[in-house]
Amino acid sequence: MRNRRTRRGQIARSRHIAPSRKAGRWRRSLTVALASLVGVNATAIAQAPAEDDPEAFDEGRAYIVDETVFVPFRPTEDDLQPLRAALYEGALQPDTWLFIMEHDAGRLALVMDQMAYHHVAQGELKGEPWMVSF
Amino acid sequence: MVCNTGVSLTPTIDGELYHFESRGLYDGVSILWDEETGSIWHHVTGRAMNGPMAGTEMQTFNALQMTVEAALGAYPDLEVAISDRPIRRGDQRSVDRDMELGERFRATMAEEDTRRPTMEIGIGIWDESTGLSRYYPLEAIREAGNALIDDFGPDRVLIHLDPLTVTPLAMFTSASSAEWDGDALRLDTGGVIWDGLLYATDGQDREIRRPLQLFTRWYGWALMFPDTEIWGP
Repeated sequence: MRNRRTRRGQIARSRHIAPSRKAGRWRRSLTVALASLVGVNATAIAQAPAEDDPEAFDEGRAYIVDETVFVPFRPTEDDLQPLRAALYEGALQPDTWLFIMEHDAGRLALVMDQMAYHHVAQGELKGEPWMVSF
Repeated sequence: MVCNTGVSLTPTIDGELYHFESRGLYDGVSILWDEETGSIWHHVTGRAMNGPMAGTEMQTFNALQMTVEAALGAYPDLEVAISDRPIRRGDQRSVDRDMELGERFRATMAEEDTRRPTMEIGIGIWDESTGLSRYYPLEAIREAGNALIDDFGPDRVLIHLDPLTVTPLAMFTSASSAEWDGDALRLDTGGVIWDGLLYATDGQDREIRRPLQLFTRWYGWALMFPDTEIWGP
């Protein structure tokens, strides 16, 4: 929906709030019962994180499934079509939300609602590999 | 995803192509798994967090959010890849809905940064070379008149709400002030941003250079960039 604005306004001046020092990360073990939420087997590793490295990967709170849940989208270059044509043919609507990939390989649109399922799309543009994650 | 974070990456490491899929959650956001090594990767930063590739990083690019109408205005010749999944009508973005963070997500999160509300939305920008990151709450951008100019490291950025999609976008600029004229944003350099394009004083559109950016929820941003600054008017 187009939201036209008519207001004129000068830009604001900036103020930056300094980050607070984060407290140490807390641990939480995940139970395999979580797996039932997505209907697949899940790996729940109750392993202590490296306390001396706050950026270390904490396996104790990672939720990792051990099989494909969301099938990635892997279009070939033959699967691409002009956005204008997709709109004209009714495959997309004017208000359909897109991700516009701005990659060294080039610019490409992906449908956000489809990406909410796939989570990952990858392919090649002019021989250059690209990927979008959501 | 709940956090609304989408990015583009280059799925090659040392010239080798890797194949990825979403395999779970960490810090409340999706994590990636690669078929070749089974490593776990952060889906925004492109950094391998665990497994044989730990510490390796993929190159990251923007994935801007626009409607079809806005995208065709900015990029008339744009191509699209459409999968076989159905496309819903209506509110397709999580940021357009009031949501709560489910326990499944919370269980994967480190301690929250409480400087802003958990589910607040805003735009975050970051510089991989300096590590500088800054978050601009959507509410603050609106209070600033839907546009603001800010120094970001050695650069200057313009943060504005696209009038068509009401979605924040960030771009590098040399301007020091900007003023709305209807749907056009006039810069003191003489440039004008209109319909997603930047027009110079000669009337020709110019390429827009953008910092890495995410239109996201606060909780996800703050856990990805724990040292983030927050902009306020």
